[in-house]
Amino acid sequence: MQGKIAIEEHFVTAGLEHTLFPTIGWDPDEWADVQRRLGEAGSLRLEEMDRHGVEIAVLSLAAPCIQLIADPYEAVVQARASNDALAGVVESHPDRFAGFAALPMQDPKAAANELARSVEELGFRGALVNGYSNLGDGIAYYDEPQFLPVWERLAELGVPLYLHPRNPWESQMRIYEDRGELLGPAWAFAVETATHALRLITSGLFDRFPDLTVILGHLGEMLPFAVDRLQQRLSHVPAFSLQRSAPAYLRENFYVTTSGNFHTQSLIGALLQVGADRIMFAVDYPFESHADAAAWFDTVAISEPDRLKIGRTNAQRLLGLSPTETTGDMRARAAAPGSMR
Amino acid sequence: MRMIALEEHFLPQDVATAAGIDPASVWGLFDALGDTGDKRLEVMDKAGIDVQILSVPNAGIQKLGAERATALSRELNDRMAAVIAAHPGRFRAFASLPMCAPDAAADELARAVQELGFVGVLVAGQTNGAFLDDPSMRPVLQAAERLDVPVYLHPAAPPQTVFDAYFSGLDPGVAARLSTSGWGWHVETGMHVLRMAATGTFERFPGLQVIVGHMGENLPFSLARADEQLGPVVNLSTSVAETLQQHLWITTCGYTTTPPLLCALTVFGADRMMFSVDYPFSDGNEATEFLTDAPLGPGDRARIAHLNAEALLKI
Repeated sequence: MQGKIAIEEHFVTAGLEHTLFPTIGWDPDEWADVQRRLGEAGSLRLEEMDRHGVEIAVLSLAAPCIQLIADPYEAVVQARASNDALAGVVESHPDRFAGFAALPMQDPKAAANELARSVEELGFRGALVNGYSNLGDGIAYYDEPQFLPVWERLAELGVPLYLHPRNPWESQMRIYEDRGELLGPAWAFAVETATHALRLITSGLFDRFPDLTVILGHLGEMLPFAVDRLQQRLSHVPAFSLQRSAPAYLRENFYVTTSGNFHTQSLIGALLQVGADRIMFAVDYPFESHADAAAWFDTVAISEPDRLKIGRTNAQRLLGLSPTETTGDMRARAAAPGSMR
Repeated sequence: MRMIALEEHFLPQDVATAAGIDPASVWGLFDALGDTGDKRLEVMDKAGIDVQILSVPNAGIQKLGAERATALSRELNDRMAAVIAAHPGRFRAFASLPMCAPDAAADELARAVQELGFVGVLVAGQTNGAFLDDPSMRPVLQAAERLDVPVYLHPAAPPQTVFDAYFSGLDPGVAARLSTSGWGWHVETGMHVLRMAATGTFERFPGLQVIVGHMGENLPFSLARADEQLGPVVNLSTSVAETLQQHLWITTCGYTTTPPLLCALTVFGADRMMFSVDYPFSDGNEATEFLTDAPLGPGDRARIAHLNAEALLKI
């Protein structure tokens, strides 16, 4: 499939390299290659995209970067710098790149302002945060009341927040003791991120802001699989109540992407749980390769109309992108309800 | 959730008798088939169906000759128009046409669409041995394309030669069902669509849209193989699979289990699927419950339940 839009594509600036998540146990040559690719947004990245039918990549910082910076002032400075750098990258190839802003959640009001600046001045399509933020000696999750200004601004601007993984906090590390291989994207990322997303849901955030959109990678961090059981059990707790069911929030306030999870059974599960409307393509470059993502996605067992939606038109619509019209676009227009030709 | 059902049959007993239609062929359900509103609406309301698109299973009419078939088709279309008028917002119709007289059929389709406000045509199987890829059928397809309305291709009993070849040596009850709703007429209808694709009918009429019921008449299951096998021998600007992807719509009638639904979903996609019951031959409640409970995202469920039909039929 040509004309794909991939929306979880990472970069890092030289100044933030030291904030990348630890890659203990990773093959050093492979990691060196990943680092090289993280720092590059020119011909190497574009040629990979071209070779595998990705027209547009929505770029974001790798994890955890800004979120790791315990000093709020420093976080703000670094976030601005990173967003300015990203704006320059986007400007160099505006038909191929778009941006998700990094947010200094350590200072929620500043984060809200940086979001507005990124969207209104830099032309970014939303924001991506890497899980909880360090704050002094501790951390904070975004259902906590001090983050309301950020959610308010997201709702006002009508742009999504991509909730990307990071590793669990030190107080959650006992279960990974001696099992470091389970940290990071292998496992811990998903558990941490899924639970954070559930905190957002069960805190009533989406009752307060019914039009908020949150994006989860990796086919939803296992939530499509798990959310029905969650709801079933929550229904036995009379003191707990929300306006909608957990599955309904997942369907109505979330999107999931294919980043790093090129798994047919999980995709079909997501298709049956949230629908093709709510799934978008992503690679998770350079931690994953365009080759792997495209080889799977281009022929995965879904209908062609759904491949076009997931591969392109959902992101086009959600993020307000205007990629070059392809044969696929023309066909999608022709085949869409409302037109018989 | 709004529900629109597209394969909902109508056949007044007096017309059926005049046309010599065998009651057995419609399971004797003349009360339900001939009902012009009250019984239908009761069934619809109980099942949660907002709109029925009426149609006549009119294979029997095609054997009566051009003049009688034309007159009876006009009568049937006028009767359906009366049902629509009597119950605003609850009914629309696919025209019944004298397919054995294709030029007259084209004229009647134009009348039905332009004067009676009908939304397409239902064709039941072959017409005296001719499939829709037959050159004689071109006036009807051309009219449908020109009028921008779809053709609902419905099953019909097989030709005698087919019945004798495939369904002899069986208990009569088994033969009757196996040759029709138990298997035979579904594979025939899928084959009918493949004939159209393979002969370039959709290239001759690029605007033509065809609807089939019964979760796609086996086409979702077999499309990849048919495409692979037919590829080397057809002369098309695109593939058989791509042709069907662009021209075929599927309704769900008569198939209320999940595996065929998932097959249609993953081959054709929810954009091309629409709800139907096959009144009065299938149960409306079963059909609506199946769609309501099916493992689908809400957008896909709404498309199948009503959005696709509203867009395709412009209602």
